[in-house]
Amino acid sequence: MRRLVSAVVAGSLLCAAAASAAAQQAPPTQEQLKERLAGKVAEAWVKDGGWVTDYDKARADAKAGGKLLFTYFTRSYSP
Amino acid sequence: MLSTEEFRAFAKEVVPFLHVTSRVEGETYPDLLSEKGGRGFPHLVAMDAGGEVVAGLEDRTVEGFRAMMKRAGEFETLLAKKDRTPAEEVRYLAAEIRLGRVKADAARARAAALKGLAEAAKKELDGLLLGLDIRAILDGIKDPAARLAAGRAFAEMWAAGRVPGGDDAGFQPFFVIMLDHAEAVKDAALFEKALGKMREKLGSEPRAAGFFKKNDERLAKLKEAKEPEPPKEEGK
Repeated sequence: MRRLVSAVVAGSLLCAAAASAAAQQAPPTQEQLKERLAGKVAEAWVKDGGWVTDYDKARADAKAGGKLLFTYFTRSYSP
Repeated sequence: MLSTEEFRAFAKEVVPFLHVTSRVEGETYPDLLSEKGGRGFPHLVAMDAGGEVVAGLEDRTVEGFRAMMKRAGEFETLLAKKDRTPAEEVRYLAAEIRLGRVKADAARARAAALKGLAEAAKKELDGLLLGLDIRAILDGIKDPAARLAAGRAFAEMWAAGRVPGGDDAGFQPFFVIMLDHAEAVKDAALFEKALGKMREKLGSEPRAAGFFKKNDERLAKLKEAKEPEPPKEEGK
């Protein structure tokens, strides 16, 4: 339900606002992107959550342990 | 939620894999999200050791995470099984449809080949097939004209009794796009009916208030435009 409301309400309004803000900002530099990535993986929930951030290692761990991957996709390039 | 003890306990049962799209040059697997069917962030799925998506998330709670992993395990079992019972075949097809592993036509043919289905299983498959049809129509929207054509198609589906449930992923685009079609063809009755259907599901949500205010205004304009002219006096 929350997803539906988000799509309905936020969809049109927030997209317009985001597009406007993005148009006014220069794209981040590679240095900034690296800083943002470092900041993301240093967040407490990542650092303390036992997350594997290497895809190849995650698959190898799953194979070795007979487990499935609980996969969470997120981004660091934008808030 | 991802910082709780409950989540940490859950994470020990699985391999918790975090993929961060960074846009840093040289990042490994930069397109993994789209390759695994993701269209936005965050996106959560269960994958097997080969990296194949075997279940999607339906409820964003730790309980929901566990349910997803359970479905993933069941799907793995069904996938490996050679002689599936009819009931297992239904569950297998339903899982494949949910995962987007089968196209609408193929899914429809496979569903038609399943005989002696219980009413509940039949209803579930019908709902999933409808979702595939809606998805196919949405994927064909490339310009405003196609959007209006999609709205017309949705209106026809609704008239034929094919309508997604309020909790189905296709519910919102189905009716939002139908509103545009109804406005374009000046069908105030259809607009009002579609908006009413959305209000049934979302009307009590404070965050949807702006959406309904805006669309009530659109409806009022449509109705005004349809007001019949007063009859002319005879003899003049």
